[in-house]
Amino acid sequence: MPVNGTVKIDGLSHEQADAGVPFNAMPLISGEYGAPVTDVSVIWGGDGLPPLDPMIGIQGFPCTSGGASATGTDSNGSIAVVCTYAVQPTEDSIFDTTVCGVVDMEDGFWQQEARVFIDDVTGTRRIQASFVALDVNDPNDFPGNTPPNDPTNLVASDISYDEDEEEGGATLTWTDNGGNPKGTIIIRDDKGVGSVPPGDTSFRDIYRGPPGTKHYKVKTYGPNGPSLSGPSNDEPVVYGGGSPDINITGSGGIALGGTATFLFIGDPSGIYTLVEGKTHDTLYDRTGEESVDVAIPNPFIETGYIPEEE
Amino acid sequence: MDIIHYAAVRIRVTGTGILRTKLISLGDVFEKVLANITMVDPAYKLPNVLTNFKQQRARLRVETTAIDEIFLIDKIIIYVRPVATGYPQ
Repeated sequence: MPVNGTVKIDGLSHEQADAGVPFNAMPLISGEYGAPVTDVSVIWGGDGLPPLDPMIGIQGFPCTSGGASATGTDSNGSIAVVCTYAVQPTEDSIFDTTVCGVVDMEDGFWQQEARVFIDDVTGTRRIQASFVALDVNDPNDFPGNTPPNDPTNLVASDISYDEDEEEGGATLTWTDNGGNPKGTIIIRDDKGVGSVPPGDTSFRDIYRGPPGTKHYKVKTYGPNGPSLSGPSNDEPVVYGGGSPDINITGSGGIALGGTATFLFIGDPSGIYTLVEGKTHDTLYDRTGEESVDVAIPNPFIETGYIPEEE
Repeated sequence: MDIIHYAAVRIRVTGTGILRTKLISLGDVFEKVLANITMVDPAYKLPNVLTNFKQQRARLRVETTAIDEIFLIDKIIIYVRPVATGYPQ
């Protein structure tokens, strides 16, 4: 499936040309998933603007920062953009490379960038960057490349949700099973929502939207060119929903005054009391998960003290 | 304050299932579980449950504990007699 829309050029700033730091961008080709993305733009810091990251420069000397970014559109919303960039310290030295992952996948627009810093304005520096779009839902866009091993044991914890703001979050952790990954992409409902560098196995996702169940999985990417691993296990996360509704089904029922265990999705930390004669709707039928003990009050009457209190 | 001997509890009740009764002292310190009453509907006699509970004050609790048990109580009579007189009154 092709990447919809075109990649925008942000323009090239020449403010740093006088500092003797030219830039040489590698032209790329846009189009199909799995193909590199066109029109890598170049962004330089300077003009009094501070670098985005802590400065590495030598005190007393001006520091420069630069980077490359690419933006585009994707109505499918399921692409991840992998960026490879290299900084050449001197014209004849060996390139260093770093691979980064997907960011800013909201509203069908994506943006990927790479930032580098140069701690010495003398001499010549070069940065080259390539951007490749991957479909997070394809098994592997690059059959010729070796994907890393599938991550496993994806677990969501520390789930929160504010129904007034319609905003929540969940912390995801997983097991990285190696295969020389270059990073991990976090996928929510088949759309990429973020990425972490290699070695990181946790991510805090911020969800903005109505209450409901969202399904998470993670994939690692790398190492020999763009490639994605298989997905981890599917981890559903319920945002909002309040107290779960409980239904008593089956024969026999539950003795009044006794306790019953229900299996449901949600926060089992509360104690729920059923009211005799009231119908409770059921919304949950997942088994093998959290349970809660429900105390059902007996119907009873009590007299006052006999004789009455003085 | 006198110490009261609770001698019997008579309940006019109809229903289904088993009516469980007990007497409870002040502060819920002591309890006396009484004989169960098997309910019928309609009922032609008033069950009279004997008890032997001596306290300054007590309250009666009746309840059912199983699904679909129903009780409808029209009258409760508790027979008491003071067995000790406190001084001062």
